[in-house]
Amino acid sequence: MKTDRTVPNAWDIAVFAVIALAAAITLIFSRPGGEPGSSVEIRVGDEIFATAELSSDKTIDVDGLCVVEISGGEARVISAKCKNQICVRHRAISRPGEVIICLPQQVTVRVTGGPDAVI
Amino acid sequence: MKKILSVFTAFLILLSLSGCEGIPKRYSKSWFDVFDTAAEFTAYCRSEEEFDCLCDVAHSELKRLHEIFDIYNEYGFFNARSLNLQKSGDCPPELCEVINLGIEWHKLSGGQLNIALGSVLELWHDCREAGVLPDGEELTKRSQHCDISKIEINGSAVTLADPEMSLDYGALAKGWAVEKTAEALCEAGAESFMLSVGGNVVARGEKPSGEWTVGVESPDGGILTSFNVKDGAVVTSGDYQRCYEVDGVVYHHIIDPKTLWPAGLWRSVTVADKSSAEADALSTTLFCLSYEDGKALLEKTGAEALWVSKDGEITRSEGFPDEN
Repeated sequence: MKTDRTVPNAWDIAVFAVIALAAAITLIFSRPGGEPGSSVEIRVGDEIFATAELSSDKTIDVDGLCVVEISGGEARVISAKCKNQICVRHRAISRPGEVIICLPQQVTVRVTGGPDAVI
Repeated sequence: MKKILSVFTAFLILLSLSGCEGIPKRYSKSWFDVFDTAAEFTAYCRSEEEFDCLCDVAHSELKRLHEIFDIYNEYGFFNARSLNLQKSGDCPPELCEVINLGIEWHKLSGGQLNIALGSVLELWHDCREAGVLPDGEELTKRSQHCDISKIEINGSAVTLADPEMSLDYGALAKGWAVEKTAEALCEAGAESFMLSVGGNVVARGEKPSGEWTVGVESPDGGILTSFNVKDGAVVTSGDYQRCYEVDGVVYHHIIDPKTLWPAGLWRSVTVADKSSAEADALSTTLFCLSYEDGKALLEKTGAEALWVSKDGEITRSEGFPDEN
């Protein structure tokens, strides 16, 4: 019969350290890839054209199709070559999951993060 | 020695728990060539090849169904357009099924959902493109050719007994097609995905981090509410999409068969249901019905709904999913 131990010995610490290390590794590597962060993603068709922080202040010319303005924590389409101009009339977006789509030109401006789909 | 072994064993156990076989990664793809809207497919797959394979399945199925239900173009086979042009030919089984579903829903909704409203909707469509309002007399004239009982079905031969009538599947086909595509994806081995086609969403399985989430857009910006969906569908009908402006007044695309004008009761109605076909039919129907009438119809189904009134007030049916 062993005596009661209240102070952990070196082996206890070693076991603990290994478990902690392995848990940390597991956590780091098991994070699902591509999980959205928080920024503005502009796509033309299916290709990502540009990504920008929502907190930045910039104007992005999307391949001559439209112009996206990011300022004051909001993104909007300020001009577009499409006929219907629905994207230009769309209010500014700022919250995760919000999206502006220019269907005729296949341009998508999206605030990343938030729900998997927004309808 | 025993202690070294115990440390080693602990490490091995943890290593095996960390899922060495590869954790599925998130992939997504959009299409702009189906159902005149934006489609988005997101899935967790173990490799890009696996995802590409699923994309082919989803896109080809959506495209095939889009061509069947397209009332504006023909594609060298008998489709919805051919039927409206009163051509003779064999109706594809998918088209027959949705016509039958339309007739069923017409009964269930007390005439509120009517796929035979094509001639009225066509006038609205042309006016929307031209940026003008339809002529009231012309609307009334066309509404006399919306009698759903004039659809005659004889096996795969469908005829429209009224030469002036045409069918429009806008309230049904998209949801039905999304449901069929989800089935095709499951058959192809997809385990965890979400497919969204212009306001029609289906989710299957779970993400590695938990259930899929769907956000309902607020008509005035932002996300109104978001909730989890497990092997189900969510469809929203709203007045803030597909609308146009004439003399400062905004007109949207959901036409109430009773008035022949855009329905004015709600800003949006969201339906959460097992099937996206039923959810699509329900959301369009509820959009034109009062809360009481809508609730009565809802109770005939297993679906739940969320109404957003003109002044932004939200009403949920009892079993509507809780906010996450």
